Amino acid sequence: MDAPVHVAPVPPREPTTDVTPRFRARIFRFDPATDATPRFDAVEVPCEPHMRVLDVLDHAVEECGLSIGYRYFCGIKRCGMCGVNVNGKAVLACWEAATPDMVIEPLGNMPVIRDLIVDRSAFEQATVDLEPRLVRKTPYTSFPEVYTHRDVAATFPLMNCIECYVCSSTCPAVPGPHPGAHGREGQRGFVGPGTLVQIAKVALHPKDELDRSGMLENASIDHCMSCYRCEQVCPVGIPIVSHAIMPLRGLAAKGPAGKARFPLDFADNVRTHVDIHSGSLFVKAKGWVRALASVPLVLRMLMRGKTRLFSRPSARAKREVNALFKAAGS
Amino acid sequence: MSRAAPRIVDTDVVVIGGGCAGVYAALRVQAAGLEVLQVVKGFLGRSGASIFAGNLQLQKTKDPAEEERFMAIRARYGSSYLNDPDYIRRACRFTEDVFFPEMEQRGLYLRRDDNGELVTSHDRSAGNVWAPNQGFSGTMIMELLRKDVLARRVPLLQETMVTSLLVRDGVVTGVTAFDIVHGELFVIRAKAVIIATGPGNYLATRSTATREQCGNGFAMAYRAGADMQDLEMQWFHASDIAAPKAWMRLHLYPNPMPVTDKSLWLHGKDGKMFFHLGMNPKVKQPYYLQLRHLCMQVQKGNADWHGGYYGGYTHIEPDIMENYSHTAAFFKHLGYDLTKDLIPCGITWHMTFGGIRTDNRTMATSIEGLYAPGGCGSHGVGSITYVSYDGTIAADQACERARSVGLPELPEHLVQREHDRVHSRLAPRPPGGLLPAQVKKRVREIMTDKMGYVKSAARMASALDDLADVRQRLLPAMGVGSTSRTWNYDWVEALDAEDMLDLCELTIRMSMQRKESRGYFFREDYPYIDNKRWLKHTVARRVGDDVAFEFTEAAPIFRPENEIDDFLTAEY
Repeated sequence: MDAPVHVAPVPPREPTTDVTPRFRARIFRFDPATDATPRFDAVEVPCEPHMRVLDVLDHAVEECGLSIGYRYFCGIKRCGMCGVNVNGKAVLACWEAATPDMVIEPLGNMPVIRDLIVDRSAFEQATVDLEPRLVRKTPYTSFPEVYTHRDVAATFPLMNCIECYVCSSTCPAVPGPHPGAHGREGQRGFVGPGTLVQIAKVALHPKDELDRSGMLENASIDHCMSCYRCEQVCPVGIPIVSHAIMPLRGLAAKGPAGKARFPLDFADNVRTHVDIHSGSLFVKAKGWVRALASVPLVLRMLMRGKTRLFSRPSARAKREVNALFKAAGS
Repeated sequence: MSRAAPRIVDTDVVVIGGGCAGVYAALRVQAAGLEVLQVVKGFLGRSGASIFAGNLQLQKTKDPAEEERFMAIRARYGSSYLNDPDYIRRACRFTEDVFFPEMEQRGLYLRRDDNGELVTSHDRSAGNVWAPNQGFSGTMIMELLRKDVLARRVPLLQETMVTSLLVRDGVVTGVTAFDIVHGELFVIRAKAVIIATGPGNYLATRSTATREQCGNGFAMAYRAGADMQDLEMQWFHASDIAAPKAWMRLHLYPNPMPVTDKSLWLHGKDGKMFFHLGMNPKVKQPYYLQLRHLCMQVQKGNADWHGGYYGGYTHIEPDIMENYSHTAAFFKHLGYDLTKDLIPCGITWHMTFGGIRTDNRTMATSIEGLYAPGGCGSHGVGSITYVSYDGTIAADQACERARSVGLPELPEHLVQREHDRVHSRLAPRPPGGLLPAQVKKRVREIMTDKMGYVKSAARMASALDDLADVRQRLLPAMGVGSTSRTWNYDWVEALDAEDMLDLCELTIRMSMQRKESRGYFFREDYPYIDNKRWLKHTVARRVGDDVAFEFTEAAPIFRPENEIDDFLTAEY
């Protein structure tokens, strides 16, 4: 089931003589084997130095005797397994500071196994399916290989990713709790930013020699709408959109079946016409057959001045647009 | 209680554990064309001790003089003369010839500079390198290995806890395994078992072991009758962050930092620096010296074990921390300014050098068909690169065995007994009773109070009394919060609690046997290194409900100069 979005009722605050500041948390509880609906357990814990959300969960079990299911192994942002939603924001429980009032719920976009435990396997399988390993064609010579720190500039910012999938849990382009499922013509639903970071790690590595464009053009990368929510929640601060998704989108656009080449066509169109010339873009993207079938629509658009048959950009405008493309690095 | 016969899965070789040793073993068995099944209590490559490997060491085994120098350093400073230098030599050669090239082929990025040179400390003879930053190497190695295992479709069961080794007439025939997600106990029958559950044991309130590492591997091997060795050789960390609690495993590396010869300073309550590695230029190992200096500060009242002292990087250029330290971001996140602020530290129970007694040439244990590579063996590794060697040779032995024997007959009575034991732990918590996590916490408190760095016969005896009290009074009051079979971690922790009690008692009793101090092992009632009588391993074996001890000579390739040295002031 999906994590519910409703907020739990607030239990009345008990009068207390203790002066230690206390943090209050309402923790999502749900066992599909025994419960018809989720509930929330409320705890109050004494504030401790630098307290993390994970400390609150530990306290709820060890001191309050609640048998809450939550997953973690390391406590220091290595295992990537303690992702939860706190007050609606996807975080790692070990990294996020505890605050006075918290609602702690499971991550979204994944089925709940129990309480705060989610099933990550769809994202992990999507990662494995897209070949997350370095693939060499040139034989490896000897250790250490010759390359410099500059040569790994593209992948270095991605290396600290710990596969927590917190980004994917919050991505609006991920189609529900079963991401990456295969659809028509081998195209799969959007696999989510977390998987794309794994693939970018190898695809952008200077020694990787696998042509990944065929796989990537089927990964619906263009479903990413660059909302940057993944970057906002990433607990290790990875520039996911600019350093993983954008470069992979560039690779996908070169795919042999042309399924993801729209961004290239779009850029060419702007470059040639200085403005968007919708007629030629439509022909390029959809082909002449679809274009001819759309003649009545084109006529209506022409009549209402929504498009033109020919573009006549000035030489100066062309120069300026080319300069912009150059500045943008493409 | 369900009496239905558990499901049986057959395989040639079962590998227990998802760290570097287990992965190297499983990949090797698969490559040999045999059937392997890897069982991991957490997630492969994302739980266990391997993810914490911080420094990697380059080896120089091609130069005989350099190799010899390194072996002598390892013998003296790395193990206080208990390790077998012949094993270290083989593991070092494997590291250089196989591990680094293989990992680099997989994409491991050992940090380089803009000219392509590997980044090291100024003291290049220490040979430390990092992937890609200090404090993250193991995580990166395990991520690459995890993807390799998944992509090669090595048969893998994650969130599955092995609860017992099934031994029949001294020969291992398989294991019982508990599927945490679905709450099902089943049997894996195998021709050989590779146990690679690591050196970590979360037995004290502050521990570097990951959450799931509750000494299960040690406890099940001991119960199955395996010889255990040197469990008293328990390593502590002196420089792990004191708060927040969740971050107790966050390590302030005391080794020389990248691109400098400077290293972490420890400061006392008075704010003055009392230790850094540069104070002993000959010594390449800061860890045990940190502990001894800390101990002397505690004795002087200038530090407390649990937070009254500090680690500081104030003398190190900020851009070194920024560019090369993975942990620097953690301190920043808490609001520390590393150019000015000192970080409160606490002492942390780390790994044990001991474990299941192994032959370091084959990883064979005293149980036929059972191999114990990596940190759970007794050969005292402490390096993620060495355990890849262990996993490889254990796999070769297991394959050879699997090719020569048929599937064994299972000891039915043990299967039934284990089935009953595991299911008895699904009993609900009685009124006023405790959750298993609360019992575990009590065990850890006892170990923290009475089995800390400074030990004595009296405190250890008292710890045994306290643990007996837990067994008699708390275990019967322990129960699960819900009897659901779905991801019921109370159930797992109830099994952990039993394993922890067994292992804590054994560790204490082995510690009581060693009547000297050495390496990380300090008894204030025997505060000297006794090379005359104690260049020995402690071996323990279960005999009925009791334990028998014996002592074997350590490998004598390098010898210390003195028969007796004062523990706190000796430099090894």
